[in-house]
Formats: sequence, structure tokens, C-alpha cells
Amino acid sequence: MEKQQNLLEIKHLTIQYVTEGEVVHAVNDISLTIPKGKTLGLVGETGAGKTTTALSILQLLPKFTARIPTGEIWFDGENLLEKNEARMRKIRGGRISMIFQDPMTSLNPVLTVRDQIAEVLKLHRHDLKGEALDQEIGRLLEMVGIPAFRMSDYPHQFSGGMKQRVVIAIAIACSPELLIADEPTTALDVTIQAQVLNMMRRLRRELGSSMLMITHDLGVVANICDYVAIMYAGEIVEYGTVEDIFDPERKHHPYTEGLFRSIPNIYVESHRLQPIDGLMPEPTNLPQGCMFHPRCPHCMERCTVPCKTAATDGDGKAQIVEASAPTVVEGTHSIKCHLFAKEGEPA
Amino acid sequence: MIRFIIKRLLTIIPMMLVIIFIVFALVSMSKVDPGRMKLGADASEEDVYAYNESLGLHDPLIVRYGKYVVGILKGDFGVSYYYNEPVMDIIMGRWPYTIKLTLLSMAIALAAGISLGVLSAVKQYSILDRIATVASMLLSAVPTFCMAALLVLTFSYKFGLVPASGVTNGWKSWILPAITLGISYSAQFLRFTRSTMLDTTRQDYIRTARAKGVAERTMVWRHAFRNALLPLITISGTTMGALLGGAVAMEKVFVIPGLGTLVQDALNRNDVPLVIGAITLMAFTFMMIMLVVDLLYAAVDPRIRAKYSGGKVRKTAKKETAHNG
Amino acid sequence: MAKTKKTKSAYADAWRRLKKNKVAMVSLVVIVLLIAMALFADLIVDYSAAITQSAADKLASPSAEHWFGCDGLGRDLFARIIHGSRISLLLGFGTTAITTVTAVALGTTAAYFGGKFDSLLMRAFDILISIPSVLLALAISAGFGTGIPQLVCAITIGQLASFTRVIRSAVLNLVDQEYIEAERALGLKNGRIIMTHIIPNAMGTILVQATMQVARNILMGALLSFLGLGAPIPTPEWGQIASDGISYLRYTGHIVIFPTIFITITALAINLFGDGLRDALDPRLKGKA
Repeated sequence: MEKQQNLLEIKHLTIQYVTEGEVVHAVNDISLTIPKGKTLGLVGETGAGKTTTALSILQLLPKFTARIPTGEIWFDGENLLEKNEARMRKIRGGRISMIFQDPMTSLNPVLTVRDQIAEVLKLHRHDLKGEALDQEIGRLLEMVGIPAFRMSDYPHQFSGGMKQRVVIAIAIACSPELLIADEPTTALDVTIQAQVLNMMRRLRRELGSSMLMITHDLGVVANICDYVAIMYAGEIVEYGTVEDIFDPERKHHPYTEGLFRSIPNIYVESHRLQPIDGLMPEPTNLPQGCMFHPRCPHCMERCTVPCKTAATDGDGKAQIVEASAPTVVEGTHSIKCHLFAKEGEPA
Repeated sequence: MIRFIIKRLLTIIPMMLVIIFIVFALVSMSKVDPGRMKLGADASEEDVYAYNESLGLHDPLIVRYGKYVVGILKGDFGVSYYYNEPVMDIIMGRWPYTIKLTLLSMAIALAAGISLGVLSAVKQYSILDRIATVASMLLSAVPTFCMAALLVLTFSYKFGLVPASGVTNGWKSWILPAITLGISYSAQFLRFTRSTMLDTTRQDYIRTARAKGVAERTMVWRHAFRNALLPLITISGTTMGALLGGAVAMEKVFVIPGLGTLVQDALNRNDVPLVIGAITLMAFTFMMIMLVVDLLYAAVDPRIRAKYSGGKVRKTAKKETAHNG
Repeated sequence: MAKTKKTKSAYADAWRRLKKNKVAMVSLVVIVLLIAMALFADLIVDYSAAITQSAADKLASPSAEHWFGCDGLGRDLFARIIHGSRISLLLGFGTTAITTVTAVALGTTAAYFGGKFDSLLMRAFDILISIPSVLLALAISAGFGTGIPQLVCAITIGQLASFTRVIRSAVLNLVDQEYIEAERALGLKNGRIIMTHIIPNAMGTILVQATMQVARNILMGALLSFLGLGAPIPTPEWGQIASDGISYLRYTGHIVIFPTIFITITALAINLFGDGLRDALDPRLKGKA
């Protein structure tokens, strides 16, 4: 069965933030899978809903504003959205852990690094006590390239790159099955970025964890991901293996093409980069039909209205549902776009 | 740390000198004639002049100030015009009452304000939060002495539960003054604690803690509160100064023979040495409180501690946290 | 530039948000009514009623004739409170106006130019802040006697240091911002940058601070009146009336209760309006979708 292989399976997840009279459609009906031991890259611009997706897996969305009207998040055969807070606490930091974007602010300034690592160990690995605990903390620090004797230091005594290493040490402390990394290198210097990335790749291999790598850097994706999901305005517009996505011979979603054109490519001679025209739509006011149509060079009449598409419901029965655009699947590669769908019939 | 304390104590000296000068200069503006006060209306001009001369009152201000400071260094704050006793002795007799009132009220204000503030922040938008917010708004709009009067009216005159004034009834005498002053200032602490706690719970490191699987209570106290403590300590210091002022009013309402009533009486009697002495001592106390606040601050925040212990301060670049959706 | 500079439309925005805030609007109405009461006090009740003593009406309870009763000297409390609003409000708003103008001038210059003036000023304020303001007021009254000018002086000086600090740090944040740097690089004159960019951008903070300051100053004025530093007898003033009432507390409470209600409503309305103003001007709420 497929479920056995997939560690994480997100099905038709929709997330909204409701504030005084406004509804922010952060994530719109996305589905994702991460096979055991593999890395999925979630790529998109700022505001595309990447972090919201990640936080929803850990159920760390803001209590008062976030709503999840539909969707399931299956982790190792259990729906996380059905778990209560106490159960979720057991999973957070233990079986699923997260590395945050900004290492400067991710560590508690008034606690020593030792205390901050010890906290997660005490919560999930009850056997560790006293000397053994300190030894384990030292071992974890060495693993991320920090000498063990620095465990009694406070975060302000570390540089940005070092802090991110500490954050990573906290995240891998309990050998999680799933590691979520939310732009782990964005806030770091370029030279440090490479070091941290290489380290993360090595650690992931050693631990055998699966990883969800959130980034807007296609270079990072090519470097460490097995699968890629391209996110735009809360939707996944293209999904596939790294080979699928990075193969210029293949069909791609116009947004993916735009993304690739807006980064420099040393193999192709071109005079200037071609950024995508326009801005991402306001998540409070999404366009009808395909989210990308206002910026799409290939926009057609039917892109501007919602379409009917086939889908399977919970029992595996086929249904016709309304979607922003049809999804075309070809092996491991799927694209959500009218360009590749046969006209007149639901894809 | 010891080096820091010594350094900090040394900065107090020039500040105290300036404060004494300000108070000294202000109070010396008054057209008080201690000779006439002492010798009566019938005394001759010459006698009065001679008496004032013996007090050194005809010297220029700066000379008198110098003499006064030299006196203080020897523990001599001058002699009260009215009581004819050393100022220091009189002050020492009254001092305990003010200290007791201030400390009791501060304890009440902190305990009530902080605990309710944390609770309202944790249970934001709950009924408790709303009640606490409204109550604190209301409390900070009532003048302390008016609230004291209303409480006396209710609990002393109407129900006869506690004495309305004086300090002769043991601990019962302190209930109303301490509670009035404490509750009145707890409103500030409540609002401040609430907003700081709300602020800290939005920080990234709280999210990190949550992602570790930390329980709500640990998150609130170990992670959020310890960080919220820093600004709280700062505000406690300055509030203590305001509370000291409030204590002066409380002493008047409840007829407590503390420093506040002493200063007021001394003012009415034009007892210049006593006024200067009492105000100087209160300002000095306040400075010492601020010193303690600084030390507490260092105890709680490792960054400050590192700065004090003489090590080089590494400047951390203030980076705007880029938000990512 | 258009994004960072507060334009007129930003204020229109804030006003629109403020209008939606019921609490703030009710508070504004209350404040306007109180000011109207102070301005037209003579039309409401004759001033002579506030100072005429009558032995027969000593400590009289509220009645149809004397709505709020009478004080210990038999003066009509309603008339005293209506006329007392003049000094109380004038004191609150007047001292705030003086404090605000001084604080903005000092805070802006100190933050913008920095250097010796800044550090000297901050040192001086460190000292000023370490004298509790009630004690400072007592010292001022010891030197210069009691009366309205002394009271204004005491309140203003007592609040100046903390107000200036707030303005200074607000301006410091602005000075650090890149568009100010850009303007300096463009060679704009300092005075012009301050008047056209710094002050308009700090205006939100200044307005909110000043509003809250009015309430603080009214309370401080009442407290100092109570300590005997207030208006000369027999001028009515809220703090003074309440403090008179305390001597009769054993017999009756109404002399304290009525002025307390008025002081509280005034301070509360101003604070609530200030809160609403802050929320309406708060850029964090604005930026977040």
C-alpha cells in the first residue's frame, strides 16, 4: 500500500486566517506526500503559504485566527488534525521537529544553549539523566560542529550561523522521523549557507529522517531535495521529482517557467533576467479561476473561471469537484494548468 | 559583578550632589527668616541678624551648599528650626513608617499586578482578561487619595472593619493604607505585564519552544515570563518612585507619622533644614532602589551580565525579522 | 517614500478607524461635554454660588436645591464642581501643552543631532527622573510658595523627563530609517528634514503620548492639590474639593464622592480615547493584512 511508504500525506488542506471582517486564504486545497527517507522541497514566493503549511503540520498555527475548514494531515498512518493538544506535544520535537528561518530570534536569550537542548531531550527521551544528558548534549553539539564545552554559553555569545547550528541540534536531538526546515539558510551569509546546507544533508542521511524543505531558492532545491512542490498563492501548481521539475525539455506550469527565467543561468546566454510581471494576488482577494491567470502569458478565457475536475473522495470514489484549474498527472509529475488539459472534459 | 556595583555606586555620588543642589537651591529660594521665627516678633533686627549670621545664612548659596555637603559627609544634616534637634534623628524616627508602607504596597502591587497580568495575557480575550482590563483602566483613573477616602468611608465608617487612621492598632492599621496604595499601583503593573507577556509570546523563541513539545505552563513561565521580566524590572524601579510619592499622600489621609507627613509639616513650618534633609534622603533611597533594579536586571539577563562583568560587548546586528508566509 | 511618509490619507484612514471604535467615540463625546461644561460654567450656574458660604447648609446632603449637597462651609457642591472643572481641565490641558511642546523640541533635537547635547540632556533627565515628582513639587513649593503657577511648574517639570525620553526614542527610530538617510544624502537641510519628515512621522506617538499625559497631569494636579500645593482658597478645583471632603469623612462622604466621580470620568475618558487613538494610528495593525 502507498500509505506505508509515505511518511506524510497532506490531503486537500485549506487554511484561512480570519481577522476582523477579513479572510486570508493562506492555503487552498493542497495535497502533498513525502515518502519515508526523502526530502520534499516546497518552493514559492514570500506569502505563498509555505510557512503556514509547515506550521499546520505541527499544529502551531495562531490559535485565535487560523481556521482549517477542510483537509487531512496523515503522519505515519494517523491524522494529526484529529489529535488533541497533549498528543501533539508528544509528537512535536520528538517525531516531527522544525528548524525556523531566523536563528537570531529563534533561541531564548535568557537560557543557556545547554538548557535549551536539554529541554527537548527531557521531554522526549526520559531515559537521559544527569551525566548522560550532558554527554548527549555535547554529542549533539559536536554533530552540528560546535565544540561541546560551549554548551554553557548563552545564545548572544554565538554568531548567526552558530545559532542556526544550535537550532538544528535542538531539532535533531530526538532523531525525528520528519524534519521541517523553514528557509533555514535565508538569514545567513552565503558562505555559511553552503556549510549549513551540507551539514543538514549529511545529518538527514545519518538519521534517515524525511524532510520538508521550505525555500524560495531553487539552488537549494536542486542540491538536497528528491521531490519538489511549487506553491503559488496557497496552491500547489506543480509537483514532481527534482528531475521532473528541473528538466527544461518537459512541460511546466507557466509560473515554474517564470521562476526559472528569473534566476541567472550560466549555461544559457541571455542579456537580462526575465522576472514575472505583476505581483502575487492579495490572499484576502484571490482571483477567480486559476490563481496565476492575471500574470500568465498564456492566459485563456477558461483560465478566468473555476473548472470542474475529477477527484477521489475519502472512500476512493471518483467525483467531480470544482477547482481553480485542472490538474494533469503524468507519472510522478503533476501540473495544475489548463494548458495541458484536454478541452471540454474534466481532466 | 563587584566591579560593576562599585562603578554604579560611584555614579550615584555626582548624581546625589546635583540632586542635593537642586533641592537646596529650590528650598533656599523661600523667604524664611529663622532668626525671626526663633527669637519672636519682639526681638531687635540686630539680634535676628546675628542669629541668622550664626547659621551661616548670609553666605552665598554655593558656600552654604558646600558646607551642607561637607556636613552630610560627617553625618550632619543640620538642626531643625522647629524641633531644635538634629535633622537626622528626627528623620530616623519617622523613616520606618514610610519604608513599611512603601514596601507593603509595592509587594501588593507587584503580586496582584503581575499575577493578573500574566493570567490575562495567557487567557487573552477571556472574561477574566476583560474584567482585569476594565478594572485596571478604572483604577488608574481614580486619584489614590480619593480611593483611600472611599475605602475608609466603606470599610471603616460603614462596616467598622478596620481603623480609619493612625498606627496604634498594630497590623490592622496598615491594611487600608497598604491595600489602597498597592491596588492603585497594581493597575499599572497589570497592564504592563499583560502587554509585555503578549509581546513575548509572539516571539520566535516561543514558537521554537512550542515546536519542542513544551507544555503551556512551561512555555508561559520558563520561556515567556523570564523574558517579560526584564522590562518589568525596569518599570518596577520607576514605579517605586511614583509609589513613594503616593505614600506621602497616604500618610496624610491615614495620619501616619512617616516622612511624608514630616515633610508637609516642615513645609508649613518653614523648617528648611528638615525639608531638605527629608527630600534628600528619599531621593537617595530611590537611587538605591534603582541600583538594586540594575543588579536584578543583570541577574535575569545574561546579555547585561556579560556587559557588566567587564568582557567586551559584542554588538549584535539588529536585523529586522523578515516575515515569511 | 509614499509608503513610509504619513500622508494626509493616512490620517484620514486613522480617523476612519477611530470612528468605528465605539469606546473611543463615546470617550470623545464625554471629553467634549466636559470641556463645554468648563467653558460655559457661568451659564450653568453662577460663580457666586460656588463661593457663598451658608452656615445653615453645612454638610447638607444632596437635595433638589443642592444637587450634590454642600461642603463643610455650606457652599453648593454642584456649583463648585462645575466651576472647579475650569482649573482642573485647564491645568491638565495647559501643562500638557507646555510639556509636549518642550518635550518635542528637546527630544527631536537630541535624537536628531545626538552628540554632546543629547548625552548631556539625557544625563540631566536621569537626575531629574530620580527625584520622585511629588518630592520635586514639594521642593518647588518650599522655595516659591503655593499657587497655580507653581503647580503648573511642578507638574510640567515632573513629567518632562519621561515624556522627552519617549519622543527621543521615537525619533531615534526614525532617524535610523533609510529614507531619512537618503534625504541627508540628497543634501536636504536638517531643519527641513525635521519639520517635513521627522515630526510628521513621529506625530502619531506624540499625539497618543500627549493624550495620555492630559489624564496623568489631571491626576497629578489633584494629588498636589490634596497635598496643599493647589489653587488659593476659595477658588474651587476638583482635587481641592475632594481633599476638603476628607476632613469631613467621618460625617459624610458626598463631598469626596462627587469630585472623585468627575476626576475619574475625565481621566478614564481621556485614557480610553488615547487607547483608541493609538490603535487607530498603530502602523502594525495597518501593515498586516
